[in-house]
Amino acid sequence: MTDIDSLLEESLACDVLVIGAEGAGARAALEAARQGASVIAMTKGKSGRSGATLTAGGEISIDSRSATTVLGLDGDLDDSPETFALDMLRAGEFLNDQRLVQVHASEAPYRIKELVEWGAKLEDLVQGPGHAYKRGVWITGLKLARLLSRRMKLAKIPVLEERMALEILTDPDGVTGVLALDIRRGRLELVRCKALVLATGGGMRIFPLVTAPEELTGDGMAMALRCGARLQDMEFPMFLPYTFLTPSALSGNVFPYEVSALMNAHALNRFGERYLQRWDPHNMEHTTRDVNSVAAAVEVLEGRGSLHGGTYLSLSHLPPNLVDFSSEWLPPNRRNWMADGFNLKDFFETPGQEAWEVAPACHFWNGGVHINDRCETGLPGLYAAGEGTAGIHGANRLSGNGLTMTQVWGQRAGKFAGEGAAETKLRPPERDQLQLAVEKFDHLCLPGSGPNPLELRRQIRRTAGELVGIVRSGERLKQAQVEIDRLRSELPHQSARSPQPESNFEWVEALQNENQLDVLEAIVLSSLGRHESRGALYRQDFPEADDDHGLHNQVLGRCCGEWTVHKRPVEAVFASLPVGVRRYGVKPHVASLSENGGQQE
Amino acid sequence: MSASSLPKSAASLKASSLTDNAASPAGKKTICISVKRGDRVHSWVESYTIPSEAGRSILGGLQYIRDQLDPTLAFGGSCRIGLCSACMLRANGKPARACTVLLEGDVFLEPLRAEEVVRDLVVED
Repeated sequence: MTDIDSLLEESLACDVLVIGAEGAGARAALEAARQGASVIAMTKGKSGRSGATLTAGGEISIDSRSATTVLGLDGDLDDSPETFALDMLRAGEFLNDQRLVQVHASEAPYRIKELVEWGAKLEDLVQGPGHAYKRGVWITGLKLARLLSRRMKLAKIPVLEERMALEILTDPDGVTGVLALDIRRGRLELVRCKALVLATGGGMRIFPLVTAPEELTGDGMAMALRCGARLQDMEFPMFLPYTFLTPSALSGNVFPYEVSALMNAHALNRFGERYLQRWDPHNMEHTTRDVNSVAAAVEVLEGRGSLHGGTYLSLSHLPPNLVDFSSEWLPPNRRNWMADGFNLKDFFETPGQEAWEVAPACHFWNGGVHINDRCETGLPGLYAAGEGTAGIHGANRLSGNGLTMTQVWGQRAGKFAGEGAAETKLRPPERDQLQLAVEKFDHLCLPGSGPNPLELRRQIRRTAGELVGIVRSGERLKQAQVEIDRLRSELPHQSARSPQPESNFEWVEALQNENQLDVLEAIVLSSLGRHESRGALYRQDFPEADDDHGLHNQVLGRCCGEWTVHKRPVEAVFASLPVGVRRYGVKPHVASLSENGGQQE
Repeated sequence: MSASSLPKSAASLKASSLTDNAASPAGKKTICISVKRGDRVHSWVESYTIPSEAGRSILGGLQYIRDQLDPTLAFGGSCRIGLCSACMLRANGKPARACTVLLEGDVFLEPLRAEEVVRDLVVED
């Protein structure tokens, strides 16, 4: 049993606490510290060795003109931040918060320039899908994560590793601190702060097949929801098509997708049909990622899938020597059949001559905590940045814009949290609230014979995969809701088999289960509330995009177990909104820039 | 504890495990994973038998144990593609990333540094 007095006595204190210490979190911590705030960063994994930044492909998107004028790269002067912003709206199918998009496009070059000043080597400038110009500044996520980790060491920012934040503590004036679990020691820890930045990433691990690391379970979104903040655009988790489904060591590996983007690979169903003919006969496998994912999922749902429930991707229609040559010119980390830490020749006799079993994997979180352009959440003292915040990408993200998001919005969150902390006093946490949070955790640690957290996690994933998934319908979503209610009733009874506190991953799983259920339910409610298909959401029962009725964001709150869903119309700030009804996958026509732009497209 | 051969890198496994499994029906063959468990004070070796499966990594084997056999087993893991090193351990005495080394036969797993064990396969940084 945890003693409240010693918890308070041993508590740490700072001006700005940042939860999540990778792309966005590290950047927020660095900026807040630069402003003179005392900063503590906290991560569920290890600094520079966890989180989604680490596994990110390698593009940071900025407009091509700035790539030339600000970074000295070989870009295209015809591009501009405004054109980049319009491409973001087109990809996001106009659900983006246009104010955030303007900030994003205009500040991105300067954040990348700072990375260069800190020692980042920009390797290339590439043109990703959906971009009108070459905008992808190439630096791998691994190098970026390590660079930021080194900068935090230089700035002497303490990073509490292997800490899972459990609850945000508040009083009537806002945030007072965070209760966290020191996973390695197995004991609770209190960090008091004047301002808190959530940079905890998405909730991809709720789904069975994912490209993201293990720790991405939506903790920050669920915590924010529990303390009164709101979630937005939760119906749009994004899936990356063509990741390995089998063998299991490769599951979720993005190699096939990257090959499909650069070569004429064929996506096939069990009958050997190129099923994309039914979806986008012109672009076929080079159609957008959302259409690719939906088309593959429909093949499986309608009984035309592969042996293990995916589809096939194949290069075997191409001459073998041509395929062999690709291993000399594919991106450096993909040459000679290398797929990150794997060599495909260890799994396939002749990798280029066999059909790979592939399936879309959950890759990115377009929605999340509602923020304004100062990263404020509406709860005083609570800021949020990076993946797991809403508004920047709308219904779908442009390629390479995930890393940009970490740098632009991490920096802003650190800046505004630092400013906010300077005007705030450190206040003691409310004892009753702390007591409740501690009791909730202590209850979880009691040995018992209730459902094991691992088993509950399996059921959550199964529900997410089978009833929510990529292709949704009202009927399956309602079944998911019933299943979520049942799983929620099991939550208080979960019990770990091991009482040993140190590195007790059953406890971690139990805590994550509550978060994952909150986030999954938010996806279900938001998906039920959208009677159309748009971006990363495809509803089988409403298969068209309806710009006349669909241009609103759904903002969710949860109080005392009751959800509220508020539909807020999208505002045209710099670009007017499209009208009419479109076939799913056909991008909306960008009508015009509004008064301050005036440029017709 | 079996004196099986060292786990080779994935490179050496194609001929043995993939072909063998293709020849015999799935589920007939099993693999024994022995794990040195405990902390710096108490330790013991626990053996788990799991079905063999072509193309399963050591990490995949550990996850199978945790999901199906013993939820109390502690080990690290994050990126699953050989970048983060959170799953480093010793497999048959040799340092290995559990996510990118395949299970080719019976294997003995230990924490990377015995003197820094926190619990089972988890070590201090």
